Amino acid sequence: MSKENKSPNEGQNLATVVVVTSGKGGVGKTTTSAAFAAGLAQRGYKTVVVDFDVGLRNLDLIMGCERRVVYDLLNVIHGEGSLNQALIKDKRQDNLFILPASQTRDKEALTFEGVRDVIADLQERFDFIVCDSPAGIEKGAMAAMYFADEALVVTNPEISSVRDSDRIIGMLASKTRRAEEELDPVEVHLVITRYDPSRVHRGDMLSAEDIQEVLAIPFLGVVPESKSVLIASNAGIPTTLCEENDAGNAYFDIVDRFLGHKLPHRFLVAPKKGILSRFFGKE
Amino acid sequence: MHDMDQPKPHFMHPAHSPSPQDAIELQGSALTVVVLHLKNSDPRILYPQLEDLIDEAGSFLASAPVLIDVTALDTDAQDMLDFSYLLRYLRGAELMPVGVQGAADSQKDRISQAGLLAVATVKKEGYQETKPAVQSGQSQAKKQPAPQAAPRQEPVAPAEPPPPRNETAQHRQTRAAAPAAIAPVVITRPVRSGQQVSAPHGDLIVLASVNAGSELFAAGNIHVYGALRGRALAGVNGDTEARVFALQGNPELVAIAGDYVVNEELPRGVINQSFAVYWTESGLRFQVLGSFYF
Repeated sequence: MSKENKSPNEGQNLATVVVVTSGKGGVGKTTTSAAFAAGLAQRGYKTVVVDFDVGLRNLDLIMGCERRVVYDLLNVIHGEGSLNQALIKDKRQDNLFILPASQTRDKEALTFEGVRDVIADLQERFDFIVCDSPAGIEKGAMAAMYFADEALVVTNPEISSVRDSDRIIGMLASKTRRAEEELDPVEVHLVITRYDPSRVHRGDMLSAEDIQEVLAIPFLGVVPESKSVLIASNAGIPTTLCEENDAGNAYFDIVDRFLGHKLPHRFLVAPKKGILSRFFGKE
Repeated sequence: MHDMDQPKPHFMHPAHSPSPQDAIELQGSALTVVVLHLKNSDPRILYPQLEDLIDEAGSFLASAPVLIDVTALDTDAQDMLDFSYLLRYLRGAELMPVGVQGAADSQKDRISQAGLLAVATVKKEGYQETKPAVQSGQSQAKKQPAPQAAPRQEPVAPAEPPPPRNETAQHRQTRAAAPAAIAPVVITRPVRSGQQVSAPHGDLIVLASVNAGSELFAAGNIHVYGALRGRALAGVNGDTEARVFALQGNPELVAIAGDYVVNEELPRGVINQSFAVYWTESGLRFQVLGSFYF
């Protein structure tokens, strides 16, 4: 792979590889990847977000860079373009880069050796590599998680999503480089998205405590069900780069807790409905 | 056919390994075998049914040591039986016949000529109480829920004549013969969806939750000191004395010795309680633990 261009801050520690995964589709992996990577970048870390969803790439849309894609991850793996050509710099945040997936290739073209070389290259240039995993437990998902040091397991408050997450947590403990080389296990963190405390209160939705009880992994926080997520997606802006909004704030909390800060959990309790709360705002 | 070490069911592993400095070590050991009860020695009836049985059992019986029980056959019927042919037939089907049980004294020579071990005659009334190893022909849907639930097998001591074949008495004897010889498998992390954990020889103890979509197998008891939401199959080798214990139970399926209850059939009162499950002739019984109201 192309090693010609070293990052200016050489000698620094290698980047941490974070996979965003869930097993189930549609739970918000790509939204989380984009918001989390942008949040890390906002906190001053040089971050790249890599789309592993070969054939169904979406990350570039969420990041708003779909019209600037020339080369993609598979071109780099197959030597058809250099990493520099494929990396897209975010227009809003200097620390943030995107490595898009191929929309036309087959996911079988994603070789482990190729992914390893690309990740090794990226590790020398960045502080964090965020891997946006495809749904399922097929090759793309396996490739995305294989080199991970840490993982965000994205779960919706419903049983099928929890069960799929459970399955993925088991695989993170057995089917990754860290497991195979008997290193420290992948650090797994729980992120609950599309959380609606009022529906939890009515018993329509699993509570965050129930999910933590089943999955038994450290909890980074909930992202509330929010209109701003869809608005941000359609606008191609990660929620953490939009104007202040509840989902963006939740993702910043998650980023800060991931970075080791202790913060009280928010968005777990439904705002009281009434005139007073309307006057004094949510929270 | 004394090579007891090689033919073992796929879920068995060598239990004893000799110490490295000594070339030889003598040790008593119990081997689990499948008992094949013959009720008719007419080859026109016997072999088609055997074929059905082997087809149905598939790989469960592959390389399984088999004890041929002819107790149910009278002397004439035993005369009709061609032991050499039967041996070749069973080996051809990848079974490993090791001996013949319940044969008349007059048959002993023919049995040893065929290369089989003649084990002592068993009382007929003892046989009637026990169930046949695997019934041929009829499907045992209710008996064998999961493919991993092995056919009913009974432990015998290979070197000695087997004790009277009263099932419970025999199990007690086997257990008393080797107290705590088999260390339990202990799992301290959550058992997650898609994972299987098995204790092929003894008890399985899980000190965490067992999540939906996972499976536990044990030759002996299963203890779950957490929530049991997956499948738990105890006594997979047919031990009806095995039990399942859960601190908080809502299993997808719980089975003992092949008899099972699915989640929908769980008694309402036990769901999410601490309970023990045990086997009876008429089905599995649930006992709520830590409650003094019954």
